[in-house]
Amino acid sequence: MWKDGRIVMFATGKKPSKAKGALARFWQELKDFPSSGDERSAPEETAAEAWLGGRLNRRDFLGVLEASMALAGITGCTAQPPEFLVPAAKSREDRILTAPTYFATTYLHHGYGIGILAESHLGRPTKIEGNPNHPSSLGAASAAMQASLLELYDPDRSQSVRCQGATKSWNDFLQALNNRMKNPETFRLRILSEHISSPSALNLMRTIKKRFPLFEWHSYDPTDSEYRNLALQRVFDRPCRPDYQFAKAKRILVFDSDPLGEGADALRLAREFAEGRRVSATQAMNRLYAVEPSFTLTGGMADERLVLGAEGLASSLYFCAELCGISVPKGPYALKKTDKDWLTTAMEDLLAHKGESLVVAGDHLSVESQALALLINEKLEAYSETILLREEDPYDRGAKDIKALMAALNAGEVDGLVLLGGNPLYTLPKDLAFDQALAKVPLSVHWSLYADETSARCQWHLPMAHSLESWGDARSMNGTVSFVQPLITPLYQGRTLIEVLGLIADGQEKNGLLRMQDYWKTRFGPKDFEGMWKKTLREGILAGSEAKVIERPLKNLSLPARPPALDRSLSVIFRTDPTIDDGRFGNNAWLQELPKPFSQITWGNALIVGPGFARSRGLKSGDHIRLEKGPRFLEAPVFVQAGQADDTVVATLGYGRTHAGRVGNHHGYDTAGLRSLEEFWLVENVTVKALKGKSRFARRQRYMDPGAADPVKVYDYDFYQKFPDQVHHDLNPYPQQPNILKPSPLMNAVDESDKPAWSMTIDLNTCIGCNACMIACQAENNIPVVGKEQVALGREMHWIRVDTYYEGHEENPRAVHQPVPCMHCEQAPCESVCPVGATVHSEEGLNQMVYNRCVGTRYCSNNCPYKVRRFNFLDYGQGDDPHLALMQNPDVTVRSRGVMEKCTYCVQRIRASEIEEKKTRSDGVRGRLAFETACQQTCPVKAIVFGNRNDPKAEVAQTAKSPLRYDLLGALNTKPRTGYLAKFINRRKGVQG
Amino acid sequence: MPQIFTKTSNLLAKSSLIGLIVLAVLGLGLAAVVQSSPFETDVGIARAQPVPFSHKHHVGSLRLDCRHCHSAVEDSATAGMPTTETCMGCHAQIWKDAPMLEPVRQSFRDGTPIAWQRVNDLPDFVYFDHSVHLRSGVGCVSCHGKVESMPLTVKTAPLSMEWCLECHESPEKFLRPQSLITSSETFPAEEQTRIGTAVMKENHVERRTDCYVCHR
Repeated sequence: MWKDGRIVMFATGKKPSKAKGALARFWQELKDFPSSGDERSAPEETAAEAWLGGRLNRRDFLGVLEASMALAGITGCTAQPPEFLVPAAKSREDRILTAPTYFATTYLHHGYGIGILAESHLGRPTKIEGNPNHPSSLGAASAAMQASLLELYDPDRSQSVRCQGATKSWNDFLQALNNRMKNPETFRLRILSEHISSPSALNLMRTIKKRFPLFEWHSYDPTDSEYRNLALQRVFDRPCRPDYQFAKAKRILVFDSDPLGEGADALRLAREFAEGRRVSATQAMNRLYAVEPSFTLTGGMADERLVLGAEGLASSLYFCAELCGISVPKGPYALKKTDKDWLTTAMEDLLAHKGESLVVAGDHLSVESQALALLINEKLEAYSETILLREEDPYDRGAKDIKALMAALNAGEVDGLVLLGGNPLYTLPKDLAFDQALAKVPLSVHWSLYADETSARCQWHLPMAHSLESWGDARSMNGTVSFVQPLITPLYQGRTLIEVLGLIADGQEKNGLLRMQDYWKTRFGPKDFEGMWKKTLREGILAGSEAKVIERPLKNLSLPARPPALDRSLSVIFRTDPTIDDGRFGNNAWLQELPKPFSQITWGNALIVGPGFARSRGLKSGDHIRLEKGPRFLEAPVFVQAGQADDTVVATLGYGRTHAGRVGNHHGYDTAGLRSLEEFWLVENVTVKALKGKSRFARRQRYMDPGAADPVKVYDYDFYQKFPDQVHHDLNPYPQQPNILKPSPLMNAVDESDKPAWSMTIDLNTCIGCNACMIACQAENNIPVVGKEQVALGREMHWIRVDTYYEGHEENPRAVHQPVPCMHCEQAPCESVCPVGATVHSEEGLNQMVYNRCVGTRYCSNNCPYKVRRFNFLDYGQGDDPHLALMQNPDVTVRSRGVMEKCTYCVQRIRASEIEEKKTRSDGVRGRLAFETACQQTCPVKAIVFGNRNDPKAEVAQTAKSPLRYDLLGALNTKPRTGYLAKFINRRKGVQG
Repeated sequence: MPQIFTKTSNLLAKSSLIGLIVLAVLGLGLAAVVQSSPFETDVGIARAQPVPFSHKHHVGSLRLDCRHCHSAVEDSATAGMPTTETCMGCHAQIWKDAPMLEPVRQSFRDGTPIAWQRVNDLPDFVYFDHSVHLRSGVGCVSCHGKVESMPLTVKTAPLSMEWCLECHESPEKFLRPQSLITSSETFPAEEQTRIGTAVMKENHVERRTDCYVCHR
């Protein structure tokens, strides 16, 4: 609730004295939908009792106590096993083998390249970070990019060539291939791939076409929408791609699109958006409008958000086009008066900022809607300003679609089908009967990372080399070329895309690196090649290779016809899963356990429905429903989400896998049953039926009561401009309090003078809630996953979590994300209750956790007001798989059972920088060498700032002193070293907020 | 009814109570002795190696510098072990047919590394960095002893936390100037304190006893 300028909260009944201009009353869960079928319905005590087999009586208790005492004694006495020193046989002069090395390589996001720096410890890749040189990364890495490391070591990855289930070799495959393709002139070969941007692979495609005149290439990616390309074709009459420039945009309006969270350019766009959002004296804050049926990361950041279902969305674009003076077919808009007012004010604002504003329509909206958005952008004078249209090579988009392939397969016109990557049998709509069509092909080959659903139905399965094991190349969204280079020889028998295409192109075994170099030699000539090759590998990008920008591009202003009005009934829209994508990360435990933004569900999916929808049908979260349209249907549990349109259900893809691997099988529900090729992203006029079933979701635990704790502080930007002092006072209302805790004898006094004072600030104003920091922390600090059941018991191990709070009415609340690591309190409540001194303070202000002293009383966790301490209940970290042990960061201890752990401020990085400083500096000053913690390093929006508060040059020295900084639970006088910067909402006057 | 306990029972009860205490003290003492004895610490115990490498010969007689073989010691956390190529730099010409060196030649031929048994092994929850200790003025001899007199390499320090803290609490008792960093010369206590204090000042060495300095 707005209290003049701030969102204030007084849910507990007691009204705190808030400044004017504040938002109040935050909440985390919908009150009317209690978590009956929800997480943590089995409390911890029940779990302990179940383990003991029923009621816990005195004798059992003593027995357990005795056993654990004995165990504690025994485990403390394990002898150190003998170890070996194994030096390399050959010397290398270019680097120290024992120090970590970074390689610039490329992650492939649905075929598009994003530059990464991969860290190698003694030849083992251990961490993935973004490459600051690369335009799609700018140094950041998404959760999925970082978690691809776990994929590399996944023991469930396909390990060998298989034919009809039998293990074969690559030679066997090559022989079989050459036998089949004796007459290339008449062999009707088809390839079905996902999007391919690799220049050398595309060149091999051309070679294949020369060898097989009847060859056709098809492309299908479950996340790539052909609607976008059709709309661009229609308006610009040429293959091109919009390259949004949020850095220049003062006003942004998105229609069911998630540019900050989805797509290969999301990291860059998020950074540019955040730069325009920082509170500064020199620039005015940008303003984001969002129209969407369901919360996306972008919608969560919107200053003004309008909830519209699928039907209203289509109408709203027509309405906005009309407002800009584009003559569109008139019609009854499926919009309420308030919606129209909202859109009118928003469009006025955008039109008042011509050349500094843009409209973004979701890729999965209809061709007409997207074409309209492109036309509106012309009226906003956005092209060449906030949108650069980039040329696309027609050949890159030359692949035919899946429909043409289905027709050919069903007509028996295909002699051989090679599936490159993807898992079409799982991801294609089930009514296509792809499996039956596949059975008609005499030769079917599937090259993939896992032996998945599609592999099971193909004659040959070929293992794919992971991108950290491969040589290759790729183009980013803006066309920049970057190289993929291997950090490790393939762990299994995987081969790269170039190698597999090469086998088909000439039937010869040839190293993929040589094939790739052959191509680049023809592009650069033998003289320039060597220099280009080394420079590109070192820097991670081929300079100047981005696609050309088309100037004054508009070709065709012909107006799209008005689509038939939708039936005013239920629509279902399909989205890829926020963590496991279209199912491709199904076997990735890090991503499975990463809470989905907003719903916080882990290890599964649900149909996201609005509160009104649930109330009218008497549904609670976890109740199963059946959605039907003709013969197509899906059955799954619902999750009631605030801020969700009531006439639209969101179904996420990627779950209900049967061949994902040991981790990913049989979680969640497959929703593709309701899809068809014609109704791919949107199914209208769906009937709904309640079923008897009930599911429990493993949702991440909620830690703080927003009513009592006042964790997030949100203000009106306009109010702040007028009355900054009031906001500053509201943020820090308490006068400086004296320290109340006496330092224990085990604790070094906190030194504030010349010693470094490590400190962190987190800017709530820019945090988009993408959860990338959680995976960065997991990879850096060897954090184990605990599994679905343990998450349901509230035993997840993430050292940093991202809380989401809502404010306002359940129909359209505001969302605020808050990352919470250890606060490193100077007056730490955890330290004073530890009976064994296992958590003590360092002179640099770090709240140290000493694993070897910890006896597992968990008093510290009980006494921690921020609930950031994690207890290792069941030895989660000690997997018995040797592959996964290779992945661990050798600079961080792998913790064992019965030990408390928590954020250390990446103390291993502090020490590394300190040692570097000691070796390079002679004046003995410490803590002046800049470095980043893992979460800070990967944050796409640079919301996290860490450093030495005593270093006047450090950014954190400014942010820590900023009047916008506040302490979480400041009233407790814990003096946390981690602080937050308040969030501002740049409201448009006249818009219903 | 006759008395169950005779008078001597009193004495027995008292002496057994005292005896228990004595036994406990003795037991703890024994545990402490065992804990700090080579049985537990491996101090002075040579291990079987693929090649019976003698530091006494290479360092004591030939006067090779430590950094000739342990070349990463000034730049990285680990001192680094010589590659087979380093060994063969000399042994391709000297003792090139010695049967004792066959594992080295074998490794050079087929590229399989030689696996040496670790002599100085810290627990995995301790993070030690050679480069910064050298930079601060901790000499090789302080931890590794006088290797030039070891025919087979043995551990000379228990590498216990108590032992580490001796220096972390009073560095002046151990530090030496950079010119003597690989030397095994030792100084009388008084002179050492004088030298150590000077080195501490010059290298800005602090007494670092926070847990997170070594444990993370």
